[in-house]
Amino acid sequence: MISLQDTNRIWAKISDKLSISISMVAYCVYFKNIIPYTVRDTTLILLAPLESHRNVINNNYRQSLLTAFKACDAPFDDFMIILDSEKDSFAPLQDKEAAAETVELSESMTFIKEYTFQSFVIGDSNKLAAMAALAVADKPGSIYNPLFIYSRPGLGKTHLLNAIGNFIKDCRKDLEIMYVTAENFTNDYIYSIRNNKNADFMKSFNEKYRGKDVLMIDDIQFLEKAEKTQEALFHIFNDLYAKNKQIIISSDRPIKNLTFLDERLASRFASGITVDIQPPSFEDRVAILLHKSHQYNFNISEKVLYYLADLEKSNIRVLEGMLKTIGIYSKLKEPVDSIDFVNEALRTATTTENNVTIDSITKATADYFNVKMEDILGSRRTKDVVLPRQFAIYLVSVMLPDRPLSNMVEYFKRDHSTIISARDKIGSKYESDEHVRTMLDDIKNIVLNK
Amino acid sequence: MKLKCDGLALSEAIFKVIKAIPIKKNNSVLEGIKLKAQDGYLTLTATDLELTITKRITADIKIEGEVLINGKFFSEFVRSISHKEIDLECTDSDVLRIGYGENKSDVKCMNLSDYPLIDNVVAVNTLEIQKDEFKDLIYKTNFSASVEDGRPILKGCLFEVNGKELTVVSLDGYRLSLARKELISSDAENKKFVIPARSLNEIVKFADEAEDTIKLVFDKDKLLVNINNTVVISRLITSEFINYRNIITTAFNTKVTFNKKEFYDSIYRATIMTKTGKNNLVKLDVKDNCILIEANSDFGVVNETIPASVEGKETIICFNGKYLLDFLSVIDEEFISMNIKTNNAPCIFTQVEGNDYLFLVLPMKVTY
Repeated sequence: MISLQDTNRIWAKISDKLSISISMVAYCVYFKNIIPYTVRDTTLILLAPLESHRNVINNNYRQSLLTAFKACDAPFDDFMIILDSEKDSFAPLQDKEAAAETVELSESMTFIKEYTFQSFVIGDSNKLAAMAALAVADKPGSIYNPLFIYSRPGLGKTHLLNAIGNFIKDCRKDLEIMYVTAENFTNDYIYSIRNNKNADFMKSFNEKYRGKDVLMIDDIQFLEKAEKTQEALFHIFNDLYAKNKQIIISSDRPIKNLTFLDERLASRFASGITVDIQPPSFEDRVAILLHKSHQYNFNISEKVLYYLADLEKSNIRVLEGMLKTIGIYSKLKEPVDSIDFVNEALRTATTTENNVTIDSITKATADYFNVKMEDILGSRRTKDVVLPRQFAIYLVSVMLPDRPLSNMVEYFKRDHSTIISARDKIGSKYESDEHVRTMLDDIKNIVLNK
Repeated sequence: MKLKCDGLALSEAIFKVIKAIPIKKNNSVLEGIKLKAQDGYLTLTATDLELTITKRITADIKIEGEVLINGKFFSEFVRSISHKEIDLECTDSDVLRIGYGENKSDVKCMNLSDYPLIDNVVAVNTLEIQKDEFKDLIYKTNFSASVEDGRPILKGCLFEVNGKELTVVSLDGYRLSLARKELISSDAENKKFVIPARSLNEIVKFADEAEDTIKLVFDKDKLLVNINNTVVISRLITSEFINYRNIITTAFNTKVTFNKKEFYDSIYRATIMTKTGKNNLVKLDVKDNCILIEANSDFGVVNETIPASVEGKETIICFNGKYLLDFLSVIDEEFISMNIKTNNAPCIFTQVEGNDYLFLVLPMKVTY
C-alpha cells in the first residue's frame, strides 16, 4: 500500500513535468490547487477545489497528465478528480507508519511478536481480561463468544488481542485469524462499494471476513458514523456466530456507551462476555516496569522505578515511553539511581507542559463546555457555569501544581475555601466517576494539544 | 473626358473611396467623388477634409478630364450595372454619360470648382511595418479611443517611436489600451504622432491588400498610406497627447491569472444578462483559486466560477462588462493576467509574460 508521503512525492514530480509540458501558466491556473487525495489500485484520486477545475482538466489536460504519469514512472495508470463534497466516499491515505502497520497486520497477518501472554503482566486490574483472553485463545469459538474487551487507552487491549493472535498462530496452525482495526474495516468496505461495478470486490470482501475462524476488530469506536459498515459487520457477525467462529472486539468504552452503535449490533456484542481493564494499581505498575526493564536489559534501580510508577498513573504506554527514555540514558551513563537524573531525562519529553497556563486551561474548559471564559471567571453561580468552573479549578491545581493557592484565588475571584472544596470535590469524582474522568482527561489532552 | 474601364474595378474603387465621404451632411460638395482621367488611369477621390481616400484604376482614356459626381448616387448606380465594361463620357460641361452595353444614362455633375484641393504629402518621416503586425496593433488599441467630440485629442491614437519599437496608445477616460510592435524600419526616432482613430480604422481595412509591409509616411501634419494604389491621407491631431505613463501604475496587491476564453465566455454571458440594466455592472470576486463572476438584472442572475491562479489578497472588483469584452475580443492569447491594486484604482490586464500589450480599465464604484 502506498503511503501519503510517497504519493505526495510522486505528485510533486508529476507537477514538475506537467508545468513544463503544458506551460507554467496553465499549470498555475489549473493544477496549483489540485492535491492528491488517495489511491485506488492504480488510479490516483485528486482533490480539486472547483467543478470547473475538474472539467477543464478532464477535457483539456487529461492526456498531458497521463503522459506525465508515464514520464515519472508513477505507479498510476489513470486518475480521477473529486471535489470536497465527494471526499467522504474515499478513504484518505494514511501516513507512512500507519500504512506500514496496516501492511503488517492486515495483509500478512503477523502479530506483534513482543505482545504475548508471557509478556503481559497480570495484576488485579486486568486479571479478568487476561483470563478471558487466555480461555478464548485456548478454545476459540466455544466458551466466551463474542469476547468484548474495553479499557481506556494504553492499558493493554491491543496487547491482549495480539497475544491471542500469537497464541493461536503457534498452537492452532489450521485456524485462520483475522485482525483488523475498525478503521481499516470501514476503509475496506467503502472500497468494495466504490468498485461494486465489479462484483468481485464485494465478493472478496465477504470472503475475506466470513471465511475466518477468529475475527478480531480493534477499536470498534471508530465505527461511529459508518452506518452502512455497521450493517455489513452485523451480517458478518451473524454468519460467523452461527458457525461458532470466535469474534473478539475491543473498545475504549463499555458497550452501553457506544451510543452510535446499532442496537442489534450492540446487543450481539453484549451476548458473550464483556471484560474491562482497569488502570493498574501502584504495585502493578511497578511490576510492569520491572518486567519491561528486565526485557530491555535496562539497568535502573528500583527506587527510580517506584518514582516512575508514581509519575504516570493511568496509561501504561506513556509509562513505557518514560521507561525507555530513561533506559537509553542509563545505557549512555551509569546505572540510573537518582531521581534528579530521571527528572532531567524526562524534561525533554514533558516540555510541552511548560506551555500550559492558567488561561489556556480555563479557555479549554470553557470551550469544552461551550460556555464563555468570562462566565467562568465571572460571578454567576448557575449550574451551567459552576461545574466548568470547578473543573477548571481542579485542572489548574493538577496541571500547574506549583501555582500558589492565592494566585488562583485572585484569578478565579473566589475564596480559598471555595477553591479548595472545588478542587477536592472534582478530585474525588475523578477517582470514582468514570464519566467525569473521561471529561477531565479530554480537556487535559486539549490543553496539552494531544 | 472620355474613357472606358472595367465595371467591377470601378465599383470596387467607389466602394473604397466612399468611406471618406462625411456622414454628417453639412457641406454638400464633400458628398461628391472626384473622377480624374489622366495618363491611362482613372483616379477617384473622396474626402471629409480630415480623411482623404483616393483609388487609381487603369482605364482606356480617350479624352483626359475631371468631373465631380454625387458619391452615394454614383456608387449605387454603378453597383447595379452588371456589364463588364463601362463608358464614361462628359458630353457637356455638367453632364456625365454612363454607357453600359447598348444603354446609356446621363447624370448631372456637381460643381468641381468648389471641391477642396488635396495637399501633397511631403515625406518627413517614414515607418515601415509588417502588415499583420500593423493590423494587430490597431485592433488591440483602436477600440479604446473616444468617439465623443468633447476632447478631440482622445479621438486619436498615439504612435510613439522608440528605436525600432512602435507603441500605440489610445484612451477615452475610462480605459486605456497600449500595444507594442517591432518596426521594420523607421527614421522617426523619438517622434510622436496622433492619428485619428477613424482614419486608422479605414487604413486597417485596406491592409490585407498590401504586399507584405505597410509604409506610414508622415508629413508634419498628415499621414499618407499607399496600399495597392489606394491612397489614404489623414490629418494628424497636432495637440499634445495625454501623458498616459502617469496613469499606468505598477504596484499591485493582487495578480490573477486565468484562461482568456473561459473568462471571456463568462463575462459575455454576464453582459447579456446586464444588457437591459442601466449599466453593464459585472462583479468579480477573486478568491484564492478562482474568480466568481456575478451579474444580475431584471432577467435574473449569472453566477459563474472560473479557475485562476491568484497571488496576493483576495478582493472584489466591479467593471463595465462591455469594456472587458471590447478588450478580450481582440486578444488571442490563451492566458492573461489581471492586476488589481484596490477596487477603485485602475486595474491592468496584461500578458502573462512579456509586455506586448496592456489594457487598463477603471473599476465601477459600487457601494455595498
